[in-house]
Amino acid sequence: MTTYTDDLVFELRMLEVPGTRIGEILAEVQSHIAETGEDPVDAFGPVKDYARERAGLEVAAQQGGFLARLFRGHWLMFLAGLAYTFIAARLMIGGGMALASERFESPFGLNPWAALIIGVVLLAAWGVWLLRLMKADPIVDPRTGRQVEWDLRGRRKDANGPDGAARP
Amino acid sequence: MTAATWPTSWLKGFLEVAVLAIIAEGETYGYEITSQLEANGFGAVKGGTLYPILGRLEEAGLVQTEWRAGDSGPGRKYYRLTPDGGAGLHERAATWRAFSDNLTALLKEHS
Repeated sequence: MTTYTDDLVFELRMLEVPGTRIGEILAEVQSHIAETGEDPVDAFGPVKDYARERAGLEVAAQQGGFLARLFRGHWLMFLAGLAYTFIAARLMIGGGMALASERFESPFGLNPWAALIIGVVLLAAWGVWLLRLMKADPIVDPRTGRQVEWDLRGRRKDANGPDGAARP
Repeated sequence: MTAATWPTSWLKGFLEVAVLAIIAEGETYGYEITSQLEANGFGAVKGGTLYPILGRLEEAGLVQTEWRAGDSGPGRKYYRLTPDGGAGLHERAATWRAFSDNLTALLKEHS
């Protein structure tokens, strides 16, 4: 049960369903399963299928242009992020090395200090953006109005909480 | 007439109206709706079919919902018809009657 809902949250996140909606869908599954005693896969079908079915609500509402779809498809974001991180790291490390020893040339012909600072700023901005992204759309349990907390393995921290009927 | 399994495409098309009609009879929650659907001859409808329908009805503003703590366990989500939902159901009932009259007339010689 816990695994099913955790996997469901992951899939819904990947499909960019808003956090409050994910909270609703999660609570519905928990409530229904507690009521019927059914196996979640029997009742709701495979996790991926159910997530896609529920995501359909949002996907239909936010059909965008070609670029928007590319970005929603993640891979372009992934490539852009990779290039950005690579350039920022190259600037920071290259700048640092050029400062440390004259044997190294500063990257992109920049002043070593400038390269170092630009690299650090770019990386810090990336980190701040990521953190804000994670905090921007929390999953909220509609029953308590509280944010659902997750550990680093993607498991819910309240998995043994008071609302946890029939959780192994 | 009852059938354990109606053609999937029929259920897909018409279950939403049935669910709306059940909610129209009074405030209810997911599991009770599945019981009502079964009692009305629609067969055992799974949660995976029902909740997306309820989600669409909620999105469209035809029903409003409220979470309430149950006797035990993780609480229940109650569904109630909105004025829009009442109007929508009325309209769909009329449309369905016209559609079903047409089909019944067409099928008369074959049944």
